[in-house]
Amino acid sequence: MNQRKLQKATVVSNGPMGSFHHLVLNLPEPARCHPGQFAMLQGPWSGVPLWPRAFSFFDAWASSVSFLYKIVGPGTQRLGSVRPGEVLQCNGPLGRGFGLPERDETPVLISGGSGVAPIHCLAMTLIRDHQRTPLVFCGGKTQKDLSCLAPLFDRCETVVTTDDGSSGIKGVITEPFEARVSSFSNPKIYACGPVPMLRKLHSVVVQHRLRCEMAFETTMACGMGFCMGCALPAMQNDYLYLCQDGPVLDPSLLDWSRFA
Amino acid sequence: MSASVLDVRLGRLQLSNPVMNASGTAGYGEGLSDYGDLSLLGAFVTKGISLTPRPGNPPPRIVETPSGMLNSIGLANIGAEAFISEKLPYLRKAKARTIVNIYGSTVEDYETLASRFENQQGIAALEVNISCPNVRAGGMLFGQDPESASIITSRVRSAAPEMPILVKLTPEAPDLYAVAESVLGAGADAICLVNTFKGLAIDLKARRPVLAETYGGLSGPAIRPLALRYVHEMHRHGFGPIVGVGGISSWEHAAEFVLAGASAVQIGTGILSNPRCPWDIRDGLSRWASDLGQDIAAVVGSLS
Repeated sequence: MNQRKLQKATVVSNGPMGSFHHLVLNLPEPARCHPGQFAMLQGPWSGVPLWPRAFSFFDAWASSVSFLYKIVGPGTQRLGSVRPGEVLQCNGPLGRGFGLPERDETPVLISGGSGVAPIHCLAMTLIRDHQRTPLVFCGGKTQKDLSCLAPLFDRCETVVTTDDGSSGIKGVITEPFEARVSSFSNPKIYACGPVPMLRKLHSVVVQHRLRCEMAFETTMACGMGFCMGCALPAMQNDYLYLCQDGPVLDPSLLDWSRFA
Repeated sequence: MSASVLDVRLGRLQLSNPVMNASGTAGYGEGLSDYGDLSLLGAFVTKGISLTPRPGNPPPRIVETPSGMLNSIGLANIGAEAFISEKLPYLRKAKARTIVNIYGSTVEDYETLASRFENQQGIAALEVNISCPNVRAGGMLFGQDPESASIITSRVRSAAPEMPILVKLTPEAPDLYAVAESVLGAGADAICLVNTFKGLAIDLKARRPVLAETYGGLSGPAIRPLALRYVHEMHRHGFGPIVGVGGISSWEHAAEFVLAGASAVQIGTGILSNPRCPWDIRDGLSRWASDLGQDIAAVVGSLS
């Protein structure tokens, strides 16, 4: 298949980055990780909780990979207390990542909340590895949700919104996006964020007939295409599997009417 | 060390070692081969195959539970024809010892599937999943009723006389001994103990079941003592050969099942967290047998 591997990764750092935790791992065998792909992480916590957890790459370079996460349950709770030098099991890279824009396409990136991680990864990859300059829209609750984007501010145009107005425009990120959408020159839209945001965005891209890729998330047990648990409703009463067909999908393949 | 230390015989079926994956936890094999050599496993067991493709259940299909998980995948699979044309060639090339798991809605489905696979190159055995609702019997599982289980087994046996047949039993049977006795009497080469236990998880905030289809099958470490007990009881009653399955994730767990009476083991939920574990378990069992100075077959059921 692709070059995914199960590796013992060493923790380089695991500290706060705004409202997130930022985890950096060193992999013994470097793997080519694409923005939008993810890894399954698990530590030596004796099967409690049982499943590894899925995290999109925040960045990937040389033999290092990094992730952003918030503590939302028992898995991230465990992850939160891991220290530099400790070893985690890392299975990846997994899934289908974002596709590169064509030479004549303008990459327009948009994220909401925790969706900032893969969008940051895509922006850094485009700038650093492909000499492309994306236009980036990022929305968060507060300024602390967006401080992880600092490296981008000098390198490309970034429009930010916060619910409380502590940074950028007060409001939701889909508003400035929609306000400018007609002015984009031959855009390719890349999005990741909460489902209500993606749903709204989908109606905008359909209306304006824009090419679009979205990164989704759902409950995963294995991340490898084995358990068939990560189903998303697709057209003709069928299903897409997020760990194999995604996490990055053409949103027109989803059956949004069955998508909770 | 002789490779034959790990040799296993399950009736008509000869395996080079006792370790297999459980059906439904490694797809059709190609993905698992990213993590290890399929030909080094005792056998590779496919996802359950039905006559026609099935899309599966609406999500949510899975939920993590204490030391386990519930699944309500809905037997999603590509169907027999697509399996034969698209997936079996890879398994042959990979030299996997392939066991095809089959299930049906009716007795005739099982018979048709058995005929379809009987002469396919590269299939070492069939594993018959009888934990499916018998739609003609009000949805009761085939495997809950000794007579239904026996009829399916004998039809599969008639349709494929030379094919090794494993029958995977559901613990949700009022009299599992009677089911085991009936399938072994009807021509099964071995029984797999056990499939998942029916369970429920509730989303307190939403005030509804987590899974879209309400109930799901419980698997993982939480069921290991239950599966181990069934293996032990069945072995004591003289039923076998037995393939033990339920919450195994290390060679020590596998060794416990062997001592309890299992001639071979399957690893399911354990693979989802650690896709290398079937190979690790095989290596661990090999070292254990070597330390004991015995072939693994000689240790089966040798609990003092």
